[in-house]
Amino acid sequence: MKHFVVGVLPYLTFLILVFGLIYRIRGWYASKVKYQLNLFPAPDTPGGEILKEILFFKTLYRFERPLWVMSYGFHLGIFLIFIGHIAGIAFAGHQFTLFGATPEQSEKLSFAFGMLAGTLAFFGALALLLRRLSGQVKQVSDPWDYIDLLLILAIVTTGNAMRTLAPVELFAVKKYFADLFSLRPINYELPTAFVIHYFFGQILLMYLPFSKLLHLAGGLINKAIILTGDGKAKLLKL
Amino acid sequence: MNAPQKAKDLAPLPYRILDDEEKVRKAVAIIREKAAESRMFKLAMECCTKCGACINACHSYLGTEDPYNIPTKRADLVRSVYKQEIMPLSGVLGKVAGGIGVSAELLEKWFTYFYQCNQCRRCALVCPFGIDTAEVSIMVRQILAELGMVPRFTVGIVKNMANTGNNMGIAKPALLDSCEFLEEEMYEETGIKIRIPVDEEADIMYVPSSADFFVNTNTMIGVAKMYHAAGIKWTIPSEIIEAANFGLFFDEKVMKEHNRRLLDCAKKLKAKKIVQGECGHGWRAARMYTDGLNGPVDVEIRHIHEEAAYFIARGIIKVDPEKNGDIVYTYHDPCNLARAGDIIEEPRFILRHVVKNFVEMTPNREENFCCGAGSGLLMEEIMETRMKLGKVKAEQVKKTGADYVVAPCSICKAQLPLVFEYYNLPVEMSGLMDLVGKAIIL
Repeated sequence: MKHFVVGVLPYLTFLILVFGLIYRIRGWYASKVKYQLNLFPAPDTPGGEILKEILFFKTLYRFERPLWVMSYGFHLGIFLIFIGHIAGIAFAGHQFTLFGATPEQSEKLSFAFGMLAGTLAFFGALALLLRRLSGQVKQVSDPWDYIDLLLILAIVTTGNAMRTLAPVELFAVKKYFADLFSLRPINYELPTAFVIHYFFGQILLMYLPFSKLLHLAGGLINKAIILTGDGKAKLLKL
Repeated sequence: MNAPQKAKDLAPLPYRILDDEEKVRKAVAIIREKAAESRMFKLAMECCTKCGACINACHSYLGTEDPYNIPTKRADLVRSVYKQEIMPLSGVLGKVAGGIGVSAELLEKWFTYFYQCNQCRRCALVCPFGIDTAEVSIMVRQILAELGMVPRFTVGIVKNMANTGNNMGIAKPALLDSCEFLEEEMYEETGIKIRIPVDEEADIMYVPSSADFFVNTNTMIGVAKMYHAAGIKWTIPSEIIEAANFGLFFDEKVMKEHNRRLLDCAKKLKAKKIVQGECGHGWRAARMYTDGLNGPVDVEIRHIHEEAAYFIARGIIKVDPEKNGDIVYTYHDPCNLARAGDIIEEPRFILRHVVKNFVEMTPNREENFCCGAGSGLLMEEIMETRMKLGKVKAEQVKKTGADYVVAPCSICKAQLPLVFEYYNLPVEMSGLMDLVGKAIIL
């Protein structure tokens, strides 16, 4: 089982993720936008508006401030985790030496950023879950919404555990991924905490293209429809 | 919760009444077809995260307090079927994901709740992903139409439109009579012969709302006076004295046919510009959908408020705000004029010139709430629901303390007086061109 999760499943996950994304997003673009469906006032630079949406969650900030705090914290945590995983594993915690830090300093910084990201994601997800369990939002939630959040919480919790309770040597993880990417056989043991975390992570990546977790892509495509598509000049500039 | 009465005879719509079994059998295929036709609809079905931002943004939910009127929950009535039958993981996750199959009862629920949505698009404004539940509502009403489920009221409008070229069923002789009547009225008031030209060749073809000939006559008078004062030749096409295009609410074919008729008339009268009168959704249909329906076109499409603002700004017409008195006016943004149609600042510019006291209601402009009858919910039989849908509007107006509400849209004009009476608000209301007509110096 352990061998399957680290030696076989990752290739399957990769294929499902890539082809799933292509399948789903192509499906969206196969549907047409026949009419101009934008909302007014139309922004002068739709691109800039979409950037504000990506960077700051502008609409949520404008209309749902409390949710914005939870959602922005959560997504910022996820984003930092994403970057941190790539940099942290590729450089085994020594990524900050590129900016002039000593290896020891870099490991400490890497740990600190990991704590920050992990805390943001954990408490963000927890807040979103609690919000979903209460009052108005409960009325619009379905099992899928809870499963999404619980799965993410499981991944974040095991990830946090690997940084604090059951530390995992980053060099071992780096070596593992190097072997995985070069298609070399994985005939050695990896820490159990890592395998559990890794398993949940792969479940998420396989499930991502077929779920509403792809709201990142879908939302942007939709926002683009709402924000662009009208080129008529005004009779009078007011 | 009451639903509109269904039509028993769908002519002239190209659909027929189906029995329950047939409806259930066809529904999924039609949903799949609509998802392939509209990216917005497909994304709404697949990408909502149920964040709940739309809950308190919707006047329909705030007024009725029925959870099925929460935009995302209303959309769930069809989304649950979509998940079960169409989403990639449906076979495995359908039930877990809240999926359900189609049933006759579910279709009845669609009919009830998608005819309690005013398609005002406020949810699209507040949604972090820009999901437009109005688009879902339009699509589901289209699906219902193809399953033979259309309100009797709506079929009546379509029938009138096909027979006479307007929603009220006014035949040409009656139109000419009422134009003559309005001309006489203006002569008595001003001592000047102001014409309402019908079917004459002119650069400007003005398309009023048919209600402007009988109920909101002051709107028509305002327009006639304005073009007279500006010294511009204009005309009304007897074949389509209707800016309203009910097709937008529920059927693409009806919308396309209306739009084609509009463009044909413009060609026949050699008009260079189509000017749409005070009708919210009609403006959206003409301004935003013409290219997609029958485009590209070489005729310019403008709104009467753009014209009026232009005339005032350039001094082509003169207005005196004294003539509209000392009372306090407020402005109701019709959803399809503002959010969906870009007529936001023009009416405010005009108002500031034709009245002395103007206060904004809160929220306003693109954030404004619907009157509660948008998307053609003018049926008598759902009056109770209509009053609930108008509740937020009534509260908004009350807070302004204004004496007079300006609402330049025929649906708003039909709905708001009833809402104000129901909620005991002693306010008057009319269109905007009415006030231009009163303030204009001839």
